[in-house]
Amino acid sequence: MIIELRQDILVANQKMVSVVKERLAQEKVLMLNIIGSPGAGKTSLLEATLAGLSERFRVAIIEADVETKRDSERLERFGVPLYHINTGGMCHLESDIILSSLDQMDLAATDIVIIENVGNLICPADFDIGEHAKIAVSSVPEGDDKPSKYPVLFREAEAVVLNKTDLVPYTNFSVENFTTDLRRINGTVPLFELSATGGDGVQVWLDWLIKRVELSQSENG
Amino acid sequence: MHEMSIVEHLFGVIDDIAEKEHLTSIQRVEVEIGGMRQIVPELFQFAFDAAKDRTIAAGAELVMTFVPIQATCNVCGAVFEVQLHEYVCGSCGAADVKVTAGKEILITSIEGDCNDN
Repeated sequence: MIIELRQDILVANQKMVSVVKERLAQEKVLMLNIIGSPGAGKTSLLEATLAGLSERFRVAIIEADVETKRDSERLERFGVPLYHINTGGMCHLESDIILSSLDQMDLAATDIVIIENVGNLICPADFDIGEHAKIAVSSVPEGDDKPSKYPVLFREAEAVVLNKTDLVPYTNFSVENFTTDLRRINGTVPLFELSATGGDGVQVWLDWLIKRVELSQSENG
Repeated sequence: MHEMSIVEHLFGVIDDIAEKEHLTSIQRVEVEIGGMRQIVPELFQFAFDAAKDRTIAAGAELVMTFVPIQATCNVCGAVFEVQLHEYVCGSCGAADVKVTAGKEILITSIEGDCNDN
């Protein structure tokens, strides 16, 4: 017999996505999914973000790594709720893992959940985890060709961060090439050029983020 | 290598359908994959062949159909196929476009034997 159907292969993941979204909506929490290569500076961006945001909003962090708790240890000093996930070799997060992290959180006392996904430009872009926005993080030492080589992430991102701009003079990185390629893939996405550790450009990113949280809180009434 | 994870999900769906339809063996599985899914056909086939071992789909053939990415221009309304991930309207040059197809990740057909007759 032949069974004809049109069934989403990722149905199990999508079911949990619905639960995650419902949970977040109930408590008016904004959830961001930070995606970038290993070494792009995702954790440094989180450090700069927490330094600028944690007095204004109640932030919780979900840190995902294939191995080690080093990223979580770096963020402990900010004193925000921190949930650590070791994926044990898996190259991305799925929604069931996020749901079990949310289960442990006091969402009623949270404004933003920021997820640092596993360092990878392909797999995390393909799995919806119930986030409101994906943030793509790329960095100067990686080269200016990342948008062209990994277009889907840059297409799906609601904001793009180009980190380590203080290193531009020491590399052959062309901000113009990066921007031109990015615009062909995503003509409307905001691009934040910054140095998470040096501080240049960080305030513009924080201002956008603050507006994004306020927008989401006003939409949720 | 998210192909492996997606194939795991695929077998979850196959198991559910097989149980519901009382299938005893599966000869053919057809899937439809959008261009935005970044699936490498060879890796997907490899992952499928590795996963099907010792399941009722052990002898199954996998048929993959790839769906091109399609978009609509938010400025002039033109509908066009996205080539090489260039999300720019071919008619008016606007980069403000909405993707309307290419994110599919579907199982579209299963051929197998059932034990009901």
